[in-house]
Amino acid sequence: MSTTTTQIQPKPIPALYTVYILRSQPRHASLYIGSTPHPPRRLSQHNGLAKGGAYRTSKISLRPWNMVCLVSGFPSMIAALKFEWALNNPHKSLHIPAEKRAEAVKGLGRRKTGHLKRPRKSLVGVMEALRMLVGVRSFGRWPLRVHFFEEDVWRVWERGGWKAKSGGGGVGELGDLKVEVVTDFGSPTAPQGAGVIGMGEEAENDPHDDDDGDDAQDENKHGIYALPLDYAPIKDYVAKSQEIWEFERQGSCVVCKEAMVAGRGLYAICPNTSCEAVGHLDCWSRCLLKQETRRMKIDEGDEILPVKGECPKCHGEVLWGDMMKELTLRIRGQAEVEKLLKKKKRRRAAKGKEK
Amino acid sequence: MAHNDTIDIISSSPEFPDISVLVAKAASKKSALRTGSNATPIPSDAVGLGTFTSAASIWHLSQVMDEEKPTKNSSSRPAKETPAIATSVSTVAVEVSATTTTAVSEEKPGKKPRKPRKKKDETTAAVDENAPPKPPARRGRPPKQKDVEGQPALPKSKATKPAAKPRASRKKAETVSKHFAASAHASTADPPEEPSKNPAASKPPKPIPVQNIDEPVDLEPAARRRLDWTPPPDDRPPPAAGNSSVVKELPSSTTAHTEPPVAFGKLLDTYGCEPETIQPSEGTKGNVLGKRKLIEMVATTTTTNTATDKLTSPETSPTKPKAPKKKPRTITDLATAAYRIQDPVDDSISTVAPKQDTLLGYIDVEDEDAAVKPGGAKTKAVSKKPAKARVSKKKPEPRKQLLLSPHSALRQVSGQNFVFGTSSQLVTEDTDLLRALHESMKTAGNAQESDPFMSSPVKFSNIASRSKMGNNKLWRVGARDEDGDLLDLEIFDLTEAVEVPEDVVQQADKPAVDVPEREASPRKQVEREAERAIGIFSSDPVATERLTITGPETLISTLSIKGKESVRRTTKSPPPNPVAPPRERTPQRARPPSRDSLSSRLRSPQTETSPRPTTPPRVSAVLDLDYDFDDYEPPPSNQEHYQLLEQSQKTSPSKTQQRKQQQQQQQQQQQQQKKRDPPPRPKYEVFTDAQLSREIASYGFKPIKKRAAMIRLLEQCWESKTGAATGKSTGLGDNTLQEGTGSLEPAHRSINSVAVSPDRGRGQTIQGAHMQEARAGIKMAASATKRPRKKAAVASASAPRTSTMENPPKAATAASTSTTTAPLPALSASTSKRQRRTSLSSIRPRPPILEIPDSDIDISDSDPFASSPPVSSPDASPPASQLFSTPEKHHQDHKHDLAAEMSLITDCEESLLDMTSRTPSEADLFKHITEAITTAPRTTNPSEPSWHEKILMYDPIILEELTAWLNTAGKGLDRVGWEGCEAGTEEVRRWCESKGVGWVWREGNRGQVRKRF
Repeated sequence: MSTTTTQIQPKPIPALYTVYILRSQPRHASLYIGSTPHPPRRLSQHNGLAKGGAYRTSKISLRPWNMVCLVSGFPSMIAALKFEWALNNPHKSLHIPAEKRAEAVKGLGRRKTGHLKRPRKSLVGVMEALRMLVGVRSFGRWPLRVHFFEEDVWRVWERGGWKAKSGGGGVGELGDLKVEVVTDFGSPTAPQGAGVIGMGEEAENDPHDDDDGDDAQDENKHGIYALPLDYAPIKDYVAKSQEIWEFERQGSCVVCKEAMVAGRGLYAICPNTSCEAVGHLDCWSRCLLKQETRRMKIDEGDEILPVKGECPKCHGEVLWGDMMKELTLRIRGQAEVEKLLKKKKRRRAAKGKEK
Repeated sequence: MAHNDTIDIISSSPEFPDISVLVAKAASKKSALRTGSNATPIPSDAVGLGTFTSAASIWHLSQVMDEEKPTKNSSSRPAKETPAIATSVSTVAVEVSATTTTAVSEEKPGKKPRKPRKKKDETTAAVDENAPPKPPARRGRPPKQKDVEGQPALPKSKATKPAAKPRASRKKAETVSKHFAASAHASTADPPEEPSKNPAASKPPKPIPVQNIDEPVDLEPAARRRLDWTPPPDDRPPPAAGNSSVVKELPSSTTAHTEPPVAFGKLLDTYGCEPETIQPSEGTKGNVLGKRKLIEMVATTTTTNTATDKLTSPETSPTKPKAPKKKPRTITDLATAAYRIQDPVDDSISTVAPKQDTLLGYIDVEDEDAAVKPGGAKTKAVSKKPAKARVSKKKPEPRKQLLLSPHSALRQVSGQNFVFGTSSQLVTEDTDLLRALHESMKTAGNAQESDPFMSSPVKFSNIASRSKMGNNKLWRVGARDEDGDLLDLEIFDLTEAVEVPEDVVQQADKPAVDVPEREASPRKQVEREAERAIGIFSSDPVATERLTITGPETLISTLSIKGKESVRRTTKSPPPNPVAPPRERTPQRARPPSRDSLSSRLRSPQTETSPRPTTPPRVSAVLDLDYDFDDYEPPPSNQEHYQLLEQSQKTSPSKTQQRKQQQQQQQQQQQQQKKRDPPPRPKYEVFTDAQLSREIASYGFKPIKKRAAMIRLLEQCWESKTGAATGKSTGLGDNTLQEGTGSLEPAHRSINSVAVSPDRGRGQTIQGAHMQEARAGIKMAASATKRPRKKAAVASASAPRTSTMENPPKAATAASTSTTTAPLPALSASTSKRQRRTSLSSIRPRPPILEIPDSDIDISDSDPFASSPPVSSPDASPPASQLFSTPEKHHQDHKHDLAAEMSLITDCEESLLDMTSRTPSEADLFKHITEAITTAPRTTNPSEPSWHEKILMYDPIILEELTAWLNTAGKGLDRVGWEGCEAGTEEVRRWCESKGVGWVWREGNRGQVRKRF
């Protein structure tokens, strides 16, 4: 296997990596698209409260900036950067079908270098591009989740949604798979939780993970400040997996029924708390993909990446992103696991040994 | 003070500075002059101006009017008139000076009051107003009218000028009065600048005025001036003449540009007094000027001419003649002078050459060629006529051209073949033979290409051929050893067998020139042939002929040599084949002569003739060179040569032509037969694995594991060979296996080996192959690139150059160039050296091999291969279908096969394969990729997940690694049973994106290795 030739030690899937859309509070027409694993910190940078803002957001007259929308769930920094670039350059991104791109390129001038000028960002345009990208094949199978922290922005998105539904802007490619949308407008008027369309889970924006409440401007943690910056949301999941492996309760693969030797392969565990279904990574994926094809009533799916499905054992819904987050954390992020479980220890005092 | 001071002032500084200032400020002299001409202000500011104007005006006044006021008024206006009047002024200069002094003295008082008036009345407007009147003044007529009108108006105008100028002028005047000289100098300097624009004479006036200023009005100052200016005037015998010249020039300039200079001129004239007589000498003066100054003089004259033309002043007319005397030279003229043919013939050539350079020129040539050959081009008659004329002219003089124009030089370079080898090898091997082979090859293969003029079609054909990568590559590869070396042994045999060396030796013996000629690109040869036919000699080719012989050329050369001998013996005159299209001409031409020799000497002349047709032209060229010109020099331009050839063909005795044609036809028929009856394909199935591997190695492919794949590859190679040349086709496959076979086979071998030669330009015959290659290259670039993209950009940049260089003649059409370039970058882009090598090597070798057989076959069918490949479809559909089309067919039809084979070949990397099969098989490929990845065994080491597991864990996939793994035998696609092309990174990338797999290049955008994900 030449696969291991990468000298880079892969990291676990980050707890949070987001691509966000900034909007200038004084001037709503000014938008900025960036990516960060730590939105609150990044926002403070943009607003000049911390070092390291972006030049484009340094204009005092445009400050403060608000994160009106962000996309979370990127499995890696590279993935987020790809998405960010695509969102910033919808006129160039190959992720967007050529027809769509042609539309975006229509009125664009060219720079001296011959490159197309980047289209001026408008909320509508960005939302359109976002909707397109979120549904495009190359990103559509990622465990992405779109968060809206401003209602007007969300409404723009929703309006675009109609278009998308009618026009099938990219979303259609993935059939019933639709991006999970979470809204957190902070104000009581706004619906706190979301219009998740395709996926049921909305757990992440629950305000009860309090770790990073840096400077919660508003009522305790909402918006970006409510985003989990660490693995806390999967704490229980991680703890469970640790326990399973600690006590070697993995048993046999839930799918193929073969015995699994700890440390001799990659085994995924059902994220549902009460379920201890363990299986080979590829077995899980095949299982979930099979379910997907069944769900989508497709004869054969040539997909590799599952998105979600139901655990063959507990029949609870499982999100592949979560499973992989836990798996990669387990096999690659021992430090994080320890850190995570230490807290756990305090609380539960059960798992003295991580790992 | 007033009178005396005023006089002084008038004479010297105040006037001049004013004028100069006016002029300078006015930017355009005219305007300044005009303002100055309005003169009324000038006098007010500076007496000198008044003097100027006054001088002229005074004349007029003196002649017409004695009154001071009118003089003043008229002075400005007359100044305008001065140009016309200048002569009179000059004549009267002495008197004028006296008058001026007096007049000035008188005027000044009058002027001063007037000046203030002007200021008051007209400030800025005055200048404008002044400006308009001046032009008429120059013309002369208007001023008088103005005078009449102006007198009343004058005060206003005067007032105006002073307003603008006077302030400064007054200051200046004060200072000037003290520093007349300096101010005068300055003023003078300014005016001279103005006149300087005119002829060189402008310089002299400057010093003169100064002296004049210093010296009130006496003639003596003029003498000094003359002395000062003497250096230029020295050339001119008499000082007076110099003065006169100056004066004359000045008037011209002044007339042309502005009045102020006129005023200076007038002043000078006054000093010089008698310039008029000298005026006629001006032209001589200009001639007399030193060489160094000549250029300037010329330029100035030109300018003056223009200016004079514009102004159309009577005085200017004399200056104009100067200009015509001196042929104005531009920098370009000077730069290109060396390339010009000196003689009238040269002129014709020169005219022709540019045409050659231009597309039109090429087209014409082509047309001509077409006209000569069966398929008459559009403008046959027209092209023929000029061509003939050109030929006649060219014949006598072409030798002179040692310097090649950049275009022609590039062409020659492109046409040159390079022989690679150690010096010992080159020495040991008969260079002559090699050259001969090269020539023959060029003629045969390049015949199409060889016609630089043909360029556009040829280029296309080349491109097209390149696009047909498969065959060419295979050929190229096949011509090389495993080590990438050309198969040379065979070449030797051929040459010896052919007895070519004799010819070569003879040629070599004659003059060194012959050798260079031989070396010279096929184009050159063709040109030479044409020249011979025409009887024109060109010396230039030598430089270009340095080209070394490359494999394909050598092969052809052998053939050509044979043909040469025959041709020489048969007919020296270049045989034009009217039937053959222009591109094909050379080959056809060569064919007829070659046929005799070829038929007699060639082992299987008929069978092998197909490639020869190309060779024959070369042969003919060689013959021409040998017989006709030992001193042979390359013709000025390829186009010319072609034209010459065409003409020669046309002009050539009908007998010879007929013979040749007949021969050609016979040959063609034979070739066609051969093509139609391609050599039996070796039964690779029967071969042992070792034999198969050897064969594959002979093609330059790396060993393939699977026997089936080997067989397929060999078959395709064979097909490509056959497609290119039936005889050879077997040869490729047979080369290794059937080495011992008849002489033909060795020839084939040699051809093949020759084919390896790097010459791409010759690929024309192989155009089809080139096209394939190009396409493949493009595909390659598209498919394989991304990793290379960064580097690829550079490589591509370089690559296109090389391509262009290689195919310079072809490159004539931008489209062709672009196409050619495109493949190259693609090649460069290809990730692996092997790929690049293979591609390049394939390109190189292919043309020769393919060319010969193809050319033969094609030629037989239709005129030339050359035309067929590029535009072949229309001209020679049958040949095209066989040769070129066949490769294409292979592409299309056998894409999968090729792909499979290619994939099987471990060494062959994605690019090659990619080209062959993409779109059709992509979906299939993707399925296989998915299958390969998902069915790979799961890892037992969590730290080393399989690709599938990596993907499942959202790990960013490094495309290069995944691609490599997919292409690894036994692991990736191979294990899944995929027999198509290897997966390219681009395909893998697309696969990743279709699956939502995060992917990255191994290297970051800036070329750094990723350190984190």
